[in-house]
Amino acid sequence: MTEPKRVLLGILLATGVGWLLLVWMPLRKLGPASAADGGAPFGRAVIGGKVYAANGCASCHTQVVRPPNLGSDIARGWGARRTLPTEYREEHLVPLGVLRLGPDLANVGERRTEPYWYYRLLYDPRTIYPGTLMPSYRYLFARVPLLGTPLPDSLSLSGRDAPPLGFQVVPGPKARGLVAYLLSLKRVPPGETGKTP
Amino acid sequence: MAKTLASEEAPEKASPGEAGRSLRAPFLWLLGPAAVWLWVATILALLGSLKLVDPRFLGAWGWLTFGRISPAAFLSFVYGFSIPVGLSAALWAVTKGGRLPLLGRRWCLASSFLWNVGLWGGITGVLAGESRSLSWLGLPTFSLPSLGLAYLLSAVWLVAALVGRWEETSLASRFLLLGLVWIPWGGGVAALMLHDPAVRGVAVASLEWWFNDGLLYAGLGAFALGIVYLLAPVLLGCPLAFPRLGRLAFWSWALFANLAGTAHLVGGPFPLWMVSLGVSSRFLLWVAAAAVGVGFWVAARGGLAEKKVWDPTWHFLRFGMISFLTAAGLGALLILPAWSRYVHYTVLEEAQLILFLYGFLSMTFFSLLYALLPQVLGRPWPSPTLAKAHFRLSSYGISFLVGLLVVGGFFQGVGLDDPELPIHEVIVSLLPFLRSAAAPAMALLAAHAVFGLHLLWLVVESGSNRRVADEVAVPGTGMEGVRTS
Repeated sequence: MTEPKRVLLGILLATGVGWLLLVWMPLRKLGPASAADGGAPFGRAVIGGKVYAANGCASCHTQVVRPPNLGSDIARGWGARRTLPTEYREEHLVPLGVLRLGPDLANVGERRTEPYWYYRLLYDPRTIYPGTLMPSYRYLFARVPLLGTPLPDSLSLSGRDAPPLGFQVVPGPKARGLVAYLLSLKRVPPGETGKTP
Repeated sequence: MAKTLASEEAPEKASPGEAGRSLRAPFLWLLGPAAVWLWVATILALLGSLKLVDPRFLGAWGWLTFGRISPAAFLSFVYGFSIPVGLSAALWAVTKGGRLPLLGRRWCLASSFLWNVGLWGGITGVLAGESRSLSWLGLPTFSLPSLGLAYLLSAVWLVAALVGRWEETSLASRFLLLGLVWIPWGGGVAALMLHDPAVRGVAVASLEWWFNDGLLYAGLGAFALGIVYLLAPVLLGCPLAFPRLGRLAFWSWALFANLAGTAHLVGGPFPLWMVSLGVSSRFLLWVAAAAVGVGFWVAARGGLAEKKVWDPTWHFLRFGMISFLTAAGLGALLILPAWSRYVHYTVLEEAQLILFLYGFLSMTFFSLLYALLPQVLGRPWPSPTLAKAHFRLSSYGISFLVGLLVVGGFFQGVGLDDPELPIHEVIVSLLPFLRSAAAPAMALLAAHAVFGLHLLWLVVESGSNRRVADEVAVPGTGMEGVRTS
């Protein structure tokens, strides 16, 4: 075998080793369980997961609770214990994240259970956290005519954000999906809750 | 700029200027759009930076939200600028600066067209909200066939030519081959597996990070190191020192670049052996980088005594190598268990990535462009002042940007580790650093604008004065394996 072919073969072997150890083995050992071991997420939360991914929420939020020796995540109340592989077992979307410019969301559905709070946060984060870096996601909301009484999940807005007379602001399908997804993020066992950040 | 070496290979074409200009069309098709993508990436990155100054800036449009423009900027830089420049380096090497025939010329043009069509679709898709948020794998599915086909059209021919025209002593060929082979292999495997319904769970994340670091180190990093080995002998008048150490570094790089990705998963839901493998591989990558660096600096110390003229190729290359060694060292330090607690998920990790991407990759790529475009277009760069302005704006921009993120990341890490300090206050304390980063981001935009205008000037001049150019053709480069009389 000539030298260039040896080099080419060596490169293919080196890359193959990486694939074998970091892709194939995890897939075999940490991949999906049998059908009897619980199903994949479904419904509006799945749509919300796609909205979460499409809007790059993982650019600022993680979904990993680290063990106590590697960070203060548990002391902060982001989870009662470290995140385990089984918690993601059936999910196609695994947004572990790379940066924390906001709180970890692995168990946010446990800490905040009120959909309206999320809608307010998404529409104008500064009303809840003044000076925050979080952008507004008001493009996920719709302005619709007010016919009689306001819809149950219409936002109570005032000042510059208030809609014109005869209109109300309600979450659109993507905002509803996103909030359903966030509410579904309860990876700790029942009964073990963390404190609000 | 270029040193002319004594001929050892019989050139197959007559004049150096003519030889280089046979590559004019393929290079312009590769590098013209690459320059545009560089602008796109920088403008998007600046917009992202301004959104950290005021999140309400352009906040009414979903396609301009921070979470979409940030990956779009990143993907534009990687796929729009870095890969085409890497392919240009390989093209230059396999044709020995245009002295050997370019058999796949039409394929190169078709490839460039398809690549850019696919990428425009992909970046538009990311901005439209079609991304799966998989960082380096974040381009939407519909753009992947075009990108894959485009890459194969170029790379298959380039790999065959590189192997067919192999040089025993060439480390540049080895690194370029690694880059050429890894990208379709890693990208193809990752794309196919991510679209397999059976692939789910945390294995998706390990696949994602295997690809991310593989593309960064074994793909783009290998291209840039190939360029270092191509250019350094020309600029220094001698090859890099310790060639055996260089070969060892190459094999270490090829192996550990494939294993380093899981270092990012410290504390995540993964077995300890996977994370340990990533951490130790990252450390060994730094050892390989140090081996390349020692060869470079020993050669530089001996070869630069008489170099007094300001040379953009050398300045960009030197800055690139300093960034390379610093980024590799920082990458090894940050994943040490003692540090990880304080720096993981902070902007300090972003600083290391930016230093590698902008400090090493982009500066080394610019070094190549300053060296080869005069050969290809038959004219020297029109304005040394613009080249100097480009270098200074880039180097100051990158240095300040990285410096701000390093210091800010340190404060962020200490704050995040204090459970009594609310996360909101931690981020508020980081804001001055993030907001100050808009200034170096603007410097980088200005630098890339200067480069783009300079390139345009060069192209226009070369187009309008072809005949004059034939007479004043710059001598052929003496890149490794490109020996001209």
